[in-house]
Amino acid sequence: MGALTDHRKRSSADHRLPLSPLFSSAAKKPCVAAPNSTPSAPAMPSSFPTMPKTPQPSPHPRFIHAPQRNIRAFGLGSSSIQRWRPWKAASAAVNSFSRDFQRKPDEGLALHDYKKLVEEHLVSPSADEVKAKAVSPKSYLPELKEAGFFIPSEVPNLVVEDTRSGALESNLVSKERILERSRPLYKELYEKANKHDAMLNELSFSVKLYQQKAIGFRNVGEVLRKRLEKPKEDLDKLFGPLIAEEEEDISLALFNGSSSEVLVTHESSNIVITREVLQCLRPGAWLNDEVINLYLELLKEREKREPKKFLKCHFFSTFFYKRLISGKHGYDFKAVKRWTTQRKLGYALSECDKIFVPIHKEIHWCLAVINVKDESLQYLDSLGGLDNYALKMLARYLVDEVKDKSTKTIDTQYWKKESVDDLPLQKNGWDCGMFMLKYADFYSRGLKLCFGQEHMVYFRKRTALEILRLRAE
Amino acid sequence: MSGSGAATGEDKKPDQGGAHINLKVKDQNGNEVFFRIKRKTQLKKLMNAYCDRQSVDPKSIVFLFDGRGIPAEKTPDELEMEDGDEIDAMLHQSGGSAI
Repeated sequence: MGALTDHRKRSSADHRLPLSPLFSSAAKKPCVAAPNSTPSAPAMPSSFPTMPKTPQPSPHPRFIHAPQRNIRAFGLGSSSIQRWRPWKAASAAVNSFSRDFQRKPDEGLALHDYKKLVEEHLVSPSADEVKAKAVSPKSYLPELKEAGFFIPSEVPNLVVEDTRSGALESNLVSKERILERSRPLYKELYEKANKHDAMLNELSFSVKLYQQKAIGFRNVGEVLRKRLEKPKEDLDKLFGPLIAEEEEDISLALFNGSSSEVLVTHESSNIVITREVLQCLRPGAWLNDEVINLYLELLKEREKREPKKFLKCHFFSTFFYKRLISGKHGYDFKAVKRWTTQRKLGYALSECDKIFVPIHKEIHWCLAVINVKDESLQYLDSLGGLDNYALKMLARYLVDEVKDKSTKTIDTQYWKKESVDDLPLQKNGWDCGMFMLKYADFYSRGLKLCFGQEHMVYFRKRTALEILRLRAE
Repeated sequence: MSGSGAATGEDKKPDQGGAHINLKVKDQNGNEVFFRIKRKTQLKKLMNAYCDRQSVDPKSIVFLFDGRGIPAEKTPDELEMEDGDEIDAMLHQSGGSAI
C-alpha cells in the first residue's frame, strides 16, 4: 500500500490505474449485485488472492512517463498505457477489468465513490468469505450438482467465476429451486412421500371404485345369466326325478286295476282316459290319439295359465291333418274351416307364434310346425323323414285360414319348408309318439330339443302323471 | 252312402219341424251318412246308430264336432248344432314306428 500511496502522490492524473484490480471487482459488482445474496457471492473472495498481483505493476507508469506524455499529446494516453503493459496482455481477465475500470470514470464516477465501492467490496466479500467458510460451499455442492451445474472444488480464476455467475444469473428460476431445495432434505422427501401418499390414496380409491364396478357388473352378469339359464332351470324341472308317491300313482294307473276304469275325463275336449287308454304310456307301447290329444290340450292350458312363460301356440288335434287332406280331391279346407273359429279358440291362428300339427301316418307319429312369426314350416319326424306334401298342405291351409278368418292375406309360397337339424331321433320301434309330444312341449317353451332316446322312459311316466293330474308343467 | 234318420222316424219330420235337426256324419274317407234326430236327443243315440250301420266297434271310433270330441250325453241343442252340420267319425289312431 505504501507503493500505492506513493504513486498517487506522483501521478494524481493516473490515480485510476493502481485501483484497477480493486475497482474491477467493484465494477463487476453490479453484475453480481443482483444475486448478491446468492451462493455465487461467496465464490468471489476465492479469486482475491490472485488480485494483489495486478496492483504490483502499478509503479511502472513511472518508466513510461515520457512516452505517455507524448502519446497524450496525440490524445492516445489510455490506450498507450495498456499497450505498454506486457503483464496485462498475459492475463486477459485483468485486461478486461482494467478496461472496465478505465471506462467507469468516464461515466462520471467520482473518486470517493470508487473508494466507497472498493471499501464496500473489500468488506462485504470478507463477510461473505466468513459466511462461505461457515456454511462451506460443500453444502451447496450436491444441490448445484443436482441442478446440473458443474462445480469445481476450487474456483481458480475470475474467468470461471464469470461464467458461473452468468449462468446463475440467467437461471434465476433454477436458483430459486436450488434455494427451495436448500431446506432440509428430509422435509422434501417427507413432502414427496406425502404427495405419493395422496397419489396412492387416489389410486386405492379408484381401485376400490373399479372393484365395486366389477362386482356390480358381475352381479348384473349373474342376473342376466340366471335369466338366460332360466330355461335350464326349467330343464332341471323337466328332467326332475319323480317322487315315490308319484311313481306309485303312475304304476297304479298303468299296471293295476281294471282296464275299463275311467281314470280322468277332460271336460272341454271330452276326452275320457280309461286305464286301457293310458296304458299306451307303458314302456314299449304305442301312443294313441287320446293320450296325445289330451296332452296337447294340457299344453295349451299350461300356456293359458302362464302366457309369459310359453310361446303363444296352437295345438291341433291328431285328427286335423287327416281331416284336412281327406276331401274328395285331397285337400279340403271346408272340412276344418270351423275348427278354428275365434269363438271356439278365443284367438286367431295367425296371432300364434307356432302352430303344432300332429301328423299320423298309419302307424307312425310325426309333427309339423308352422312358425307363423318366422314364416317357416318344419317337419319333425323322429325317424328323420320329411314330408313335403304335408308341409305344402299346411302352407295352403294357412293361406286359406287367414283369408277366411280375417281380411288379411298372406303368401306362404316362399316360406321355408324344412326338416330340423340335430333332431332327437328314436332308436326303437315304439317311442315316436312320445318324441312328438316332447317336440311340441319343448318348442312351446321356446327351447331347443335337448333330449334323447334315453329320456323316453322318464317322459312316459311323466306324461302319465301329468295326464292323471290333468295338468302339464 | 246316405243314411236315414236313425233316432227319429222320417215320417215325423213335417210335424215336429224345428224340433228336429239334420246331421251329416262323415268318416275319414269322406263317406257321409245323414241323420235326422230330435234336437234334445242325446247324441249317444246317433253314435250308436252309426256304429251299428257301419258295423264298427264304437271304441274304435271318435266323433268330432268342429274338431272336438262329442260327449255322448250331450244333445244337438247343447252343442248349438245347426241343421246340416257335419260330424266327423274318425278312427282312433295309434302309432309307434314306421318300421
